[in-house]
Amino acid sequence: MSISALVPIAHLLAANAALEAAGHGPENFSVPAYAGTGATHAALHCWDSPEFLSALQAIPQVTILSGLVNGIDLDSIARTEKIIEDAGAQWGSESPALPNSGTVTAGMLYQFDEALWYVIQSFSRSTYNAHPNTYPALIRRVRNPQAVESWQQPIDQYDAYKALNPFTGQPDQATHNGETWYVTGVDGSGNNVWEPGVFGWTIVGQEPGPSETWVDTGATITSQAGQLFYVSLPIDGLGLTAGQAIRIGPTLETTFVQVWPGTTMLMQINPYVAATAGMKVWKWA
Amino acid sequence: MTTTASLFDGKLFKSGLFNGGIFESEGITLASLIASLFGDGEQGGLWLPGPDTCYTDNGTTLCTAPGALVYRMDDLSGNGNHAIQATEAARPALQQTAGGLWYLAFDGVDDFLRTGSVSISEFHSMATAVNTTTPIASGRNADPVGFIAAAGSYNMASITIYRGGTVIKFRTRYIGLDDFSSTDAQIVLDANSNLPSTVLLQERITTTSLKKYINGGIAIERTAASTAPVDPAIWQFGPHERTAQFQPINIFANFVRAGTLTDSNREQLHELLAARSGATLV
Repeated sequence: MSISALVPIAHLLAANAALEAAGHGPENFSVPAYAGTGATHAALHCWDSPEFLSALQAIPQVTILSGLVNGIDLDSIARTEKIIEDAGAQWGSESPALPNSGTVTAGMLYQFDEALWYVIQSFSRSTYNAHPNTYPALIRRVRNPQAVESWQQPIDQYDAYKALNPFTGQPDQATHNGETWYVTGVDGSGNNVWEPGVFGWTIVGQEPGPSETWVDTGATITSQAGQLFYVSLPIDGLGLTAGQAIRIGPTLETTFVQVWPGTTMLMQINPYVAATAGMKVWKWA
Repeated sequence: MTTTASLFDGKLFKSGLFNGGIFESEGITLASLIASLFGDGEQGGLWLPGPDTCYTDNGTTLCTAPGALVYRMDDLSGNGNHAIQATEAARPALQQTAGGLWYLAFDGVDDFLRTGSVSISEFHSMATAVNTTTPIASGRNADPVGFIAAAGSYNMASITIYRGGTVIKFRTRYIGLDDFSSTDAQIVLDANSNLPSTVLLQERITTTSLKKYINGGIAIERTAASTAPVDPAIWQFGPHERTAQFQPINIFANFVRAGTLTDSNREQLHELLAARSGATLV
């Protein structure tokens, strides 16, 4: 009898690392399962292997479906479907094709044009029957976490781009404006919601040269005014230019916009980061 | 190391596994067929799953019984293009039919095998013997099932299935030629139907013509819309790509050759695949 198993996305990297350390090879959990706008779980199926089953059972966050189910030895597809659906998720490869008529239901995934689509609110395909891209308020493309696809504006944490994709172990990538980009900057929650070229993305193959690095400007944050920050030194003397990447403290990456008009030490940045007094201001140069 | 002699006692189809000696009168053995196909150093591979070619590790421990998970399947062409799967959950299982035919069972969830990098020209031929025992439900026919496909240039392989005298096609996309798709594409398989063993050969004859042979007969001959060179780096067995599996399949034999085939070679290869899978050539 075979084995299907499921792990929440937050534990995917650790689960795969544990299985690899136990001698079962890399990336055993590889099948994305979706709930809502993004992948929430990863699944696997393995033919009968007592040793592998034991290794899975040693990982507390993993759910396992082995043996008979209601007296039935489920086949590989049915077994994997069941463990995914029991977790309230959907298996993308098993999703139905997006119909050209009838009602599509909120929360469901459909396949169309070699991609998955998530229905935000139920609607009639008989009425709204153009390409689903036409109706962003009704339906949106779900990112395949294992593919490099065209960039789309994230709407929540589940489809925001990440600096560490748990399926690949690498930063998320996307194509945009004729280039392939990868994530190099995220907000405090680990999400990148900015358009490539604006903030937090680097073109593959155009990584900063070794001569560029974070340089201490010598200034520190002294206080906050709205979403502006006072710094300890006159900004004109820090060598900052509009759009230049800066980092506040050890992790808060953003860009310098301008010296706030009429001031000398009040700095506007974009995007906003939650800097606090005493943090050093670094510039990428 | 796997040898053709140990596999078949030097007599290709004399074994009870092979339909009672198809080539006996012609004196052809597996070794002579391999020599004919690859003897001049042609790139490619011939993979025949069985307890003499499949290992539970990377080439040390042979599979001894049905059900073993296959880490590596040896290439018999002499090119060393062994197919590997280091990830346990993604390994197919070596199985045997009631009639004694060996095959690899791919689960349709995450199983596949891949060769290392293969240098292959724009001329190539490929063949597989495959079946499935799981009905293809509605909605599962949106993607091709790559019983044998070129990774790095995904979607190169696609499939035509012969069932009960009727040609049934998965939607085809690329078969080593751009835009070789469309009109012979769509299928809807009967839910609850099983597919018998199948033999097919997809052969690129020239840069502008492609022929599909199914169970020994020409099924389709088309002119490609594009003659863009094909240079896949890796051959993959199993579903067409790892992230979009949905159909369990059983592979009895796979073949790739960087070059065209003579009619004689093609016929012999078809008979080998038929014998390995239990299919009857038309």
